[in-house]
Amino acid sequence: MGTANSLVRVDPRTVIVDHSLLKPTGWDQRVVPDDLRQYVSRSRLVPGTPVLRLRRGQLFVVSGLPFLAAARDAVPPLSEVVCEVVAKPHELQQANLRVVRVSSLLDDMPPVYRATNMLFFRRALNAQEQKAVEGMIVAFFQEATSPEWNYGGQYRWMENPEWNEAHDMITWTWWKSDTEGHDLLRLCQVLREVDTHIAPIRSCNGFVPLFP
Amino acid sequence: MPNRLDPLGLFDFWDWLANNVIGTDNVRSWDNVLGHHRTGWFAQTSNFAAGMGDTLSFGATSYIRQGLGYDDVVDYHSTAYFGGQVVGTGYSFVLGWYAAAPVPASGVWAYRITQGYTVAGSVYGVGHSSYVLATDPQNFGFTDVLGFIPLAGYGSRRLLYIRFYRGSTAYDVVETVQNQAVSIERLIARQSNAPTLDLGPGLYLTRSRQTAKSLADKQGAFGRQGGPAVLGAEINRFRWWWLRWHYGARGNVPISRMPGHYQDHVPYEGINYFNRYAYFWQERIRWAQPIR
Repeated sequence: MGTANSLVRVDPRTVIVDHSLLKPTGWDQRVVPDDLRQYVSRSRLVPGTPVLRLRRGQLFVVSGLPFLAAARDAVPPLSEVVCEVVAKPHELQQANLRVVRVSSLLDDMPPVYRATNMLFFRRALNAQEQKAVEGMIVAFFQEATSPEWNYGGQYRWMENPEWNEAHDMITWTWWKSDTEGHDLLRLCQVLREVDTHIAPIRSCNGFVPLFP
Repeated sequence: MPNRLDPLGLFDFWDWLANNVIGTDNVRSWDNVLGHHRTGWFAQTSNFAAGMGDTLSFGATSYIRQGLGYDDVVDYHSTAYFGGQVVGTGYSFVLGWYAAAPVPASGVWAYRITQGYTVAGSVYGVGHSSYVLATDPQNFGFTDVLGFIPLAGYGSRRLLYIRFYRGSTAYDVVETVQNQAVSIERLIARQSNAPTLDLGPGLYLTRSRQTAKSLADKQGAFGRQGGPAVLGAEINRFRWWWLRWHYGARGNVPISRMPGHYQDHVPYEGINYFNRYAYFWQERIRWAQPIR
């Protein structure tokens, strides 16, 4: 019986890092570790699927190390992360790993959820710049929810944006569903305008942005 | 002085083994079983294997036999050798066809070896055959045509099938690959309240990996479904033509907010048909790295 890839819920503290097995992806390399840790702490979401290898009953990380580290170092830490494990089915059973069916994983997700977003800047912003950034985000939300300019994604409502003490990071939350439309393309345009006209962005939800 | 053809003295050993150990009569019986050394079934099997091997190796095995000095055992004019060439041609075509297929979930090494064979074989075979065709067209024969076979297999698959990509999230792609079907229910949920979709509700695809990567990238950074992933889908061109004609699918339409990028669209009514005839896989991609 050959090896297969299965989704498994894993405690990030139990995964072993062997640098000779690591094959970081470009997605891993876009992570700003401290920003991602803050994002995971706040959103409780891990925006990546680490790939692990099962060897002699132990799990070794192949890719997605920054996501495991962010889950482990988050405040409070995440007890489980959904990972892809490369192993033979009987090895998964022997290691007592719980295989997750992706359909049930998706079914269990509430249709509308609290989506936290965090924008990290390379420098502190003054009051005027902060107000401009807030204005652009709120304007996008109003645009996305107006009947004539609906970009999809069922944006429902938005909580007030807040800045950190150093004034170099803004957090905002909106209630929405998963999207398929032009909303993300439009949001990226807004963020590019922020990056170009107000202040350079260090990361968005823990990732270095690649603007189109 | 040692015999140049038998430096180890093995000829004497074989004689001793045949006559004193096995026995002359038994050896003759064995010869009867194998048949005539030129026309018997064993010699024909050998010719068939040589024909197949020479075809698959683009003649390299023939050169090796000549180099080792036992090429005279092969009868190049035999029917069996020709049969081996025909079967080898078939295999060569199939290998090229397989090399054009999507990367499999398992056995990637075999796939890569096949791709390597197709590339190396095509470079050598096409180069050599083209050279013969250009310099000595009167002697361009069946064996020279063989050089084009892997490339023909590769090209045939690419001509017969059309390949699409879809930028999405990891969980969405894994589910689609596991079920070998796009979930219409999830698609409807994701697209509800989105009247500005370029071509209306339906399955959006693209023929460009780059476009799909770019769209997946955004879903990964702002979504909750395990980061970005790209779905690959392959469907027979005739089936795609039917989708366009019967279900109103559309191809290569510009994406309104992504200048220079194009999309393909299958309306909800055509998704079941698409699911029935398409093959889905998770595309292996290298995500763009940031400039810091």
